[in-house]
Amino acid sequence: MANIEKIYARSSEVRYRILEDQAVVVRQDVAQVFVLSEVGARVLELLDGKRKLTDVRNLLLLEYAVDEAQLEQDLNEYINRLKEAGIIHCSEDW
Amino acid sequence: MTYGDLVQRARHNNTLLSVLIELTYDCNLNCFVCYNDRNQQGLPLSVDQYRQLIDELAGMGVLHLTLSGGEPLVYEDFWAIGSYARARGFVIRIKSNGHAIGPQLARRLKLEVDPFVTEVSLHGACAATHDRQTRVEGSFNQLMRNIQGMLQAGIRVQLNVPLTRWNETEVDALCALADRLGLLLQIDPDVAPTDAGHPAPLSIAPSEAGLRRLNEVHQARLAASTIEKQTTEAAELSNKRVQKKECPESTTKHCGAGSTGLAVDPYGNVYPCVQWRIRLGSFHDQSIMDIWQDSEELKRVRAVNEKVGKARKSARTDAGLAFCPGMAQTESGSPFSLYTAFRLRKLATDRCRETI
Repeated sequence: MANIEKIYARSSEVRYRILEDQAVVVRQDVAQVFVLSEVGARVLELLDGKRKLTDVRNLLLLEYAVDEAQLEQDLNEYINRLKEAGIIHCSEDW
Repeated sequence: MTYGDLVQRARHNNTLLSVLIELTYDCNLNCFVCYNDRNQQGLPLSVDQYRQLIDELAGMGVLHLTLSGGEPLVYEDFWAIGSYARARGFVIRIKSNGHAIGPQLARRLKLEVDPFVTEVSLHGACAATHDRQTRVEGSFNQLMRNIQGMLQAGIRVQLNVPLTRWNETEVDALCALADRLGLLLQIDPDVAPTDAGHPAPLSIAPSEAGLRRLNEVHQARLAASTIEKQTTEAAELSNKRVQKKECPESTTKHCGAGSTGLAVDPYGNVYPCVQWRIRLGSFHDQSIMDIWQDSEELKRVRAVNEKVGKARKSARTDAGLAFCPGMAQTESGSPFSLYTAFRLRKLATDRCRETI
């Protein structure tokens, strides 16, 4: 995983709530709404600007019955999608 | 699952999503069509109580918070409450007349409250009409200046127009004005009695011809935007079709009043919706969660909402027309009855059909 030591945080333009086990994410600047799955909502909650991605991975491994290698791959892809959607930023990009 | 599916499911499950708070009934304008009951008495909520309310709503997962009035910007603790709501992560909507939001206040609003959108009331496409309806000379020109300041501050602005007999001939001009400014535009065809039941605003309800013209303009703009969307969202459509297969729980409720939404007045009274003024409880006496879960009145409202939903779905001639049980209740005492604004829209729509 390329960015495992990096810290990610939700964009300041993002507002979100967990609703019915899913996350409703609003990007205020572009007036876009995203709906994330239960796992996606959990990832978003964990990306608090304090935890390293490696800590997020370790917490998810404890919470979900999933293969470590598969989780890393999925998490990496998911982080990239959240970044592309403007929902999160890497700490180095601040 | 799409956001729309999620809202449907929330409505079915009575999951609170959206709350409107009327901070004050004080106002710096004197609009003829205002529905607020300025003579209402009560003990206003304190800033500490508002913070407690906001904390509770955040804890319940409420995403959308609307700060309204009266004019919310004239409420002395607006900034304390607005900035607190921002810190608790709400998508904030401000409903204002825009009269007080000069450049300095606009910058402060963006910085401290950062609303998703600020809705400002526009009463006409020119000063004569707007000022006649607000009953404050110079209010149109001040609003136009203030809108520029808000846009420069990076605030998203929406124009809300209450359609009346005085401005109904300006529908095209209102659209042109909104387009020129690059603003969202919402024209509300329903004029309602005041919350105290006073019918004065109805005396300038739009005419049948005005409603027909609004309908024509609305259809034309909808068609234009649909063509635009079809060219840009073709790929998304196929995704949506696939997602539609995940049928969420369907709801028979007519609207979100009391099932995804609530309104709170300046004295802590809680209602299913800003239009549906049935008192469910008081924040002075109970938590919002207690009202949400235990109010017998709210249970009755939800049951009525289901009945209205079924009745509207089975309506033969006017099923497509927007119906507000709250406005029906305010005007006649029954949430099922046809109210003046609805009758007028129905008449205008029927005449359109006859013409076609």
